[in-house]
Amino acid sequence: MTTTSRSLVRAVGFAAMIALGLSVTACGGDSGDGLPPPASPPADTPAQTIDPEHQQILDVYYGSVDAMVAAQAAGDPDYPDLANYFLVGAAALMNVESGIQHNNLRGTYYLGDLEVVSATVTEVDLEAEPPVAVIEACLDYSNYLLVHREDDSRVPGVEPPGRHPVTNQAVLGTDGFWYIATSETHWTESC
Amino acid sequence: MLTLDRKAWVAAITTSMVVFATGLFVATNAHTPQPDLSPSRTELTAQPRDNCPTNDYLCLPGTENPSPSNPSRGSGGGSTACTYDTGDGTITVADDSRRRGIVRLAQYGVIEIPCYMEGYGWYDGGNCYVGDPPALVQPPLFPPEGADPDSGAWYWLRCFAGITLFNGEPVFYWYADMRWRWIAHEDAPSVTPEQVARSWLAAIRLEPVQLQLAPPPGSGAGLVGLPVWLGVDTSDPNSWGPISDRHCIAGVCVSLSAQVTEVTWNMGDGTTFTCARGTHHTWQRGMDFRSPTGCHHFYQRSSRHQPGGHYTLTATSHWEVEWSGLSASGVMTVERTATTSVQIDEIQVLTTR
Repeated sequence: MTTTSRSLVRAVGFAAMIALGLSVTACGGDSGDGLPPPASPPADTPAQTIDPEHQQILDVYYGSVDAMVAAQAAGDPDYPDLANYFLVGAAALMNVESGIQHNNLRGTYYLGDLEVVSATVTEVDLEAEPPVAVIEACLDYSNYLLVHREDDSRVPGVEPPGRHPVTNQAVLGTDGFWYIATSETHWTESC
Repeated sequence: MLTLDRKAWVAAITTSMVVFATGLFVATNAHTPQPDLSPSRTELTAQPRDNCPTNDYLCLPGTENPSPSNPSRGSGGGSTACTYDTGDGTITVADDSRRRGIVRLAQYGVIEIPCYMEGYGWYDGGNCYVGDPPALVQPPLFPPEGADPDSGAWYWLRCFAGITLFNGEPVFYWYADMRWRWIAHEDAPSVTPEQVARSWLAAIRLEPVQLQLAPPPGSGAGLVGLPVWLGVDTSDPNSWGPISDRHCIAGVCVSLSAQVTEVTWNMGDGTTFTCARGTHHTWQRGMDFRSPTGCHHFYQRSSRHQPGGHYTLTATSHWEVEWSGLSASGVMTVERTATTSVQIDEIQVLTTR
């Protein structure tokens, strides 16, 4: 199991959150492959070596989060960096775009820190069409707020939803790079 | 994961909660997978889930109020919008037109959604759009079992889990889902040039004529026996034309031209007549007011006894929209109506000997 903690910059669109998430393994979730969950390493265990392909997938995932955060801050659903990490035309980016569009219509955006608690690649299937990898994640949404863009005042009635597991799928594109294609936040679960 | 034998996944998805833009917009989806009974359509998902109901018909531009029990394909002449009935509650629809926040509408009724969205594809009548896969994704190499490779093609499904309406315009939220659907060529979504033209017409802003009457309403009364010059602003393309454009959907392109060809005037005194384009001259200083050079009207009585003391005048402009593309052509007509009021007085002449 790989546990990664990463604090991300400000302003994350809630709807965009749907499209992104990190590992469920840190949250006690089921990996979904029928195997028992891996044992947690001792606290003093040195960092494990990560499969290079898994690391590449995680890098793409982190890049996608950064791009999404920047796009949300800019209020730009066509933010150029998005296409470097998200699969254009797939659900994750479509939801990022919808979230930004929706926030723009309401004159709102998300302000605050999003902490990525953990991220793990739990499955890689190169035989699938398209080849797909599953990334389980835990995101801490506690420190971001939906605010009005004009004065950063908080939009009432929206509470920080805490930590939740998120299941993502990355797709291996025909150009040889991985892209985030889908994401589903399990809002009824905590991690 | 997708299996090598291309067997479609049919697995129940457990209840999942999808929370949208503000956290107040919550969609619960616990869908029961439905078997695909259509021999020409097979779906593959890259995940063991089935968020989208299988649909057995396509909704295309020109299809009005599609019904699952009445498979239909657009043939032109109808609405460019498709409809989605929220009544079954499968998909959460919320209204965010009010600034106070999103209102979830469990029973919103029938809403309009696009039949086609660039980059998404065609609305399939359920809660999915059927289109090309992402550019960086290659479709499966083989057709479903038993299908002739030349009989159809794989399409990518994009299925919505919720809709937020903002001033009536839908903003979609999409299932975290990847799925292929095999569609036989004869059932493949397509668009006709007329449907492209109608789509353009639905999106273009055509306005009523801008009236330039003389005497101008509100600045003085006309007189019985003197003409009312029925001029219009001919410099505004959106109210008078001509407008030329080219419009494409899914690679089908048409050229269009639109202009007002005539205006029907209802003068409010029981008189109705039509003036052709090119006759709506505006009175200018230096012109003989009593000798109108174009469309005009002489009132025979004062408006004193009319409601409000004036005649209500309407000008209905008739647009003709000509389109052509892919060896087809046609004309569509649209009407817009402008309304104003004119006051007409009568000069009392006292003759003495």
